[in-house]
Formats: sequence, C-alpha cells, structure tokens
Amino acid sequence: MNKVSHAHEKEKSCDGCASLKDHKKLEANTFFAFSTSLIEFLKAFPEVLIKWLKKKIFVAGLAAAIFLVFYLELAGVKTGPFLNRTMIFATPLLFGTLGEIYAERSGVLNLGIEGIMSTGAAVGIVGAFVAGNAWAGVALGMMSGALLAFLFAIVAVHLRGMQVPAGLGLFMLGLGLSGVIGVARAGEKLPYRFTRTPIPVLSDIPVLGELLFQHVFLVYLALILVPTMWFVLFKTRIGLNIRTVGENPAAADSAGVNVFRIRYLCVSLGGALAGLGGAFFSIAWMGYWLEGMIAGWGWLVIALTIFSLWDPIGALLGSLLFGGMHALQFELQGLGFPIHILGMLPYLVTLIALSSLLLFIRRLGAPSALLQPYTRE
Amino acid sequence: MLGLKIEKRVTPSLWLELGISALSIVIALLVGSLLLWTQGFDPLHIYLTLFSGVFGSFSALAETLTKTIPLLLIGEGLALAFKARAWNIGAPGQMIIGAITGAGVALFLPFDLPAPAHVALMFMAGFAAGAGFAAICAFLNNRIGLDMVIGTLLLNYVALKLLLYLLYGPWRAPGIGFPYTAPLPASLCLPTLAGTRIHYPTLIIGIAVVLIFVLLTRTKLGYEVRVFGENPAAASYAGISSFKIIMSVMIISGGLAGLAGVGEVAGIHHVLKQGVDGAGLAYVSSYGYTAVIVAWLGRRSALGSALAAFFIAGILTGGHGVQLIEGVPYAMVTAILGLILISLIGGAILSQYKIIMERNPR
Repeated sequence: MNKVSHAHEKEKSCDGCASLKDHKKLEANTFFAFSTSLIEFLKAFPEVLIKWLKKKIFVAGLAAAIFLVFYLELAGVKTGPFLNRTMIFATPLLFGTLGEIYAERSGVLNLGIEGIMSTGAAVGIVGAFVAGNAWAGVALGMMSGALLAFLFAIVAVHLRGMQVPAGLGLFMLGLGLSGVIGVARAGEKLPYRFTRTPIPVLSDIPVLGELLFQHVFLVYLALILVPTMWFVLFKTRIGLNIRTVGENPAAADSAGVNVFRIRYLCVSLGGALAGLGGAFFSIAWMGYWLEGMIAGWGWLVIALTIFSLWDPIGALLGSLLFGGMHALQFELQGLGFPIHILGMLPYLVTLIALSSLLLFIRRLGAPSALLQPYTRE
Repeated sequence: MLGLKIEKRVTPSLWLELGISALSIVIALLVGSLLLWTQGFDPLHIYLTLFSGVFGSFSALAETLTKTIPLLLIGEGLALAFKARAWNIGAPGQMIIGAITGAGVALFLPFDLPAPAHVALMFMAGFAAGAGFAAICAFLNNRIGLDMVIGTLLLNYVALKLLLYLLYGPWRAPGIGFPYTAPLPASLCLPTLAGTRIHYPTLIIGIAVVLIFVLLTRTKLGYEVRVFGENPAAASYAGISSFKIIMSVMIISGGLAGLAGVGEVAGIHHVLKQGVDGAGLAYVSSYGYTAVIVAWLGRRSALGSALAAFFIAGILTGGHGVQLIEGVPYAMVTAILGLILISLIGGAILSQYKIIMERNPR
C-alpha cells in the first residue's frame, strides 16, 4: 500500500515536466505497485476465503451432502428410508437447537437442555396417557420445559448465578423429575400416535420428498420454524433487540430495551422448544418412555448450537448431519459392526466436527455477553 | 425511621457461606417435599426415614462411608478444577476409564507381580488413564478453544459405550448370564473393615488427597489456580500460564476420578460391570455427576468438599433405603440433588451483598 501512494506522489510531482525517462520510471513503479498489491491480496486471501466460507460453510456442506446422495442413488443404493429416518432423528435436535439459539443469542447459556428434554419426554407421554390425546401430551411437555427453563432463568437472570453450574443443576433436576414422573408408565406403549401425513405433490419428489415431506405433522412444524425463527432473529426489530441484549446488554438497556424481559422470554422459549423436542422423542418417535431414553441428545443440542454458529439455518443443516450420523448407525449395524462402538459415533463425530470447525474458524462469533449476568449498576 | 440499604460485600464470612449452603439444602428439601406430596407420599415421614436410615444404625453409617469414598476423591478433584473455572463435567467418563484400566491391569497383566505391587499398579494405571482422558479435553480447550463442558460431557458417553463394548464383547466372561468380566483374583481385591464394605485403602488415599489439597492452597500452584479462576485476564498479565493451570487441574481431577473408578472395581464389585460408576439405570446418578454437587456444596474448598461428600453420601444411602422401604423412586434423590445445586448457585448472590439497616435514610 505504501508503494502505491509513493507512486502516486511521483505522478503528481512530474505533472509539468513529463519526459520519457520519467514516464519509464512511472511505469516501473505502477508495475511494482501492482505486484505488491497482488502479494498483499494473496496474503489476505486465506482470511477472505475463511470469511466467505464462514458465510457459505453451510451451503458448501449442503452441496456436499446432495452430491453424496446423488452419487449413492446413481450407484444403485436406495437412500430413501435412510433419508427419511435422518429427518426424524434430526427433529428433536432441531427443536432443541432452535430454542437454545434464541437463549444464547440473548446471552444466557442454558446447559440444562438434557434435563428439560427428559422431563418433556416423561411429562409428554404421561400427559398423553392421562388426557387420551397425543397433542395434549405434546402441549404439556412444552409447558413443563418452559417452566423448568423459567426456574433456571430466575437463577441465571435475576439472581445472577453462574450459568454453567446452574445449568448442570437443571440437568440433574430434569433427569430426576423425568424418572419420578415417568416411572408409572415406563415401557408402556402409547395407543394414541400421530399418523404420517405426506404432503400431496411435494412428497413425490424423488430424494427430497422422502427426506422432508413424508412425516408426521411435528416434523413439518420443525421445518417451518427454521425460516420463521431465522426471519424473526435477523430481519425484525424483536430479533435485533434479542441480538443486542446478547451482544451488549448495557447498550440495549440504554436504548430502552428491557434486558430482563427479553432474557426471560428467550430462555423460556428455549425451554418450551426443548420440552417439545423431548415430547417428540417419546410420543412421536418411540411411542413409549424409558428412563434415560434421551441419552445425551440434549448435550448434542448444546454442541449443535455452537456448530450452527447461532443461526437457525445452520441448526437445520447441523441437525440433519447429526440425525444422519444416527441413522447411519442402523445402516452399519446390518454390516456387522459392533453396536456399542457404533453408539459412540454421534458423540465422537460431534467432538471431531466441533474441533475441526474451531481449527477452521478461530473465532466462532459467540454472543459477547454470553455467560455474563446483567446488572444495572 | 429505619431504612434498608443494600451494599456490596467484599469477602463473605465463613458463617455466611455455611448458612447459604444450609439454606439451599433446606430450600431443596422443601421443594422436594412438594414433589413427594404430589406423588402421594408423606414428605415428613419420608425425610425422617431417610435420615434415620443414614445415621440410625452402624451398618447404615458404614454404607454412607463406603459411598463417601468415590465422592470424596472425585469431589476434591472437581473442587480444584472448578476453582480454576475448568468445567470438568467428565468425571463419570474418567471414572469409567479408570475402572476399565484398573480391571484390565488386574485381569490381563502379562507378567506376574506380587499382590501389593499389582494393586499399586492398578491404581497408578487408573490414575493415568483418567488423567489422560481428561487431558484430551484440556488440550483441545486450551489450544483451539473447544468448550470444556461439551468436550468432557461427550466423552462421558464415549467412555460408557466403550465399557459396554468391552462387557458385551471381548472382555465378557464365558458362562455367566450377565455382561460381567471374570472376577478379580482374591489377592487383588481390596481389604475392607470387618463386616462392612468400606475398602479402607482407597479411603486412606482420599484422606491423603484432602490433606495434600489443604496444603496445596498454600503453595504457588494453589495460589495461581485461585487467581486464574477469579480473573483469567489478570492471571495472564501476571505471567501465569493458562495452559499449565488448565492442564494440571484437569489431569489431577481426571486422575482422581480414575482412582475412584479403580477403588470401586477392586473394593466393591470385584468385577467390571455396568454401573461400576454408581449409576443405575439413569446414567445421571453416577458418582461423577453427584460429585459436582459435592464440590459446590463444599464451596470448592478441600475441607468443605470432604464434609459435603459425607453428607451427600448420606443422602444417597438414605435414598436407597427409602426406595426399598417406602417405594419412593430413586430418581427423587437425583431431583433433590439438582435442586440443591440450583439453589446453591441462586443463593450465591446473598454472599455478594449485605443488607444494612440504618436509621434516617437519606
């Protein structure tokens, strides 16, 4: 850059006395300037590339996945049932992650998702048994999740407690509660189930149809929530407020945003969605409840929230990836792999994926005020 | 006129800290009684049974001490790690890895050793394995910024699956209906106090750890850990290496969890089996998770955690008793433990402020 301005000065100084010699010098200087700027550009290129990739990383991932599916289809492998299962496995993760994205965007890390999902699963199925209706169970599961998250919010927002240990407490409370509530109906098959409602035209599309459009209604709800929550978070005033509260609560407060209310709302919404994810687990997917059935999926949600870079679109792609990983277990089981080694796969892949993402993008861009309680002093 | 004023408190007194711990236990028990009541139990009766079941008889007390051993070892390590804000939630996994390694050394050592040396080797290998397992996360956390909670937690499930793989696969003893390994040779089983399950060699290690940790607070490392935990930025300014702190507290806490795992295998179960970490069906009742509460209830101090370990072990023992006698689901204990932790964190605000009564407020 220095050389360029230098050349510029030269050009100005020889305005009046343009001789051939000067022109030659100037040409040499321009060439020099060009080459240095090229070097500068090449030096900066990895950074530019990473910036671009950070934006397009999900698009790239999606492209790779589509390519893989088409490759398999062309090779004669039936990917339909696998893709269908992938979406079902992805749904509880998607619900949880969408909610956790909102909570973390507002600056509160709720580590208790595993507990909330467990309670949601237990309350949901017991509620469905008692009310004789699967929808009532889903609603009750959501409510239990919102309640637990509200309890956490009191500790994390108003009492300004440390969020990590408080979240661990919620994790244990939720798992304990699920055991207390669900034990009455453990292992009992739920007679009220949702039925698959394929969407008329769309479900006939070869690959996408089986992936996205041949499911129970709750899966569609999760899919609809993705663009809705993305739009609200990034294109509306409410979303702007949420993000500001998570980045700089003092500034948001002085701009007239109620920091406490936003945090309470986001954490409770996150809890409700996690509860919904749990209820989906027991009511829509398994059809029964067992102690410890959530088995770490709530923790995968926490990991996925980081992996999504706090973006609902990323949440969809990430949960499809992890749902696919889980579905892959069933495919590989048939090939004679030991079941418990395969069972490690979702957890190990999450760990490796997170680590490689961190190697790739040093700064993930977590909300700046995450983990920091806000006080008006 | 009397007015109330709220002021910041710089250093909370010991009595206040103890009071907060006691208060949070009371709150948790109150909410727990609400839970019990909704499930159709008489809370007062249940609590009385619980506490008489812990301290009422010699055998109950011995059982409490037995359960104290792993909680003490892990809780001490976690207290140290939490002091440095290294959120090691991977104690269940580290304990399982320690147990696997200990059992492996006991069963499959290719050469002969005299029994005491063999037992010592089991403990050392268990420590190394637990420490190594924890060090993976510490390294990733320090070098690339992987979230410690997520890293340690995901590895818990990996460790559990590894245990299941070994039990259902290569290590399964033939001819037994259960997925167990072959029993440990009798010479390698830890001796117990007469008539109880208290495997005192491990208890002695635990007490030694407490003493070392009490002394540790007076050393340079203890000081650095404290500074680092309170203000990482100031610590790095003072030339304290974050890598050194994170690695050492994680290695120590992971290693202690590994020791606890070996102790459970060699002292209690004498085989490697599922639930060797104290977990029943619900994975959350593992000692590794319960020890998180031990560390917080003990205000992250060495002596406090030791007392808390004994207290929580009492609740666990009483919980088993109440489950057997009254049919209260054991998950209730887990819920109450979670409530204790939540109210501890929420109550911490009390130690930061004091309410002053003053005359004639301005």
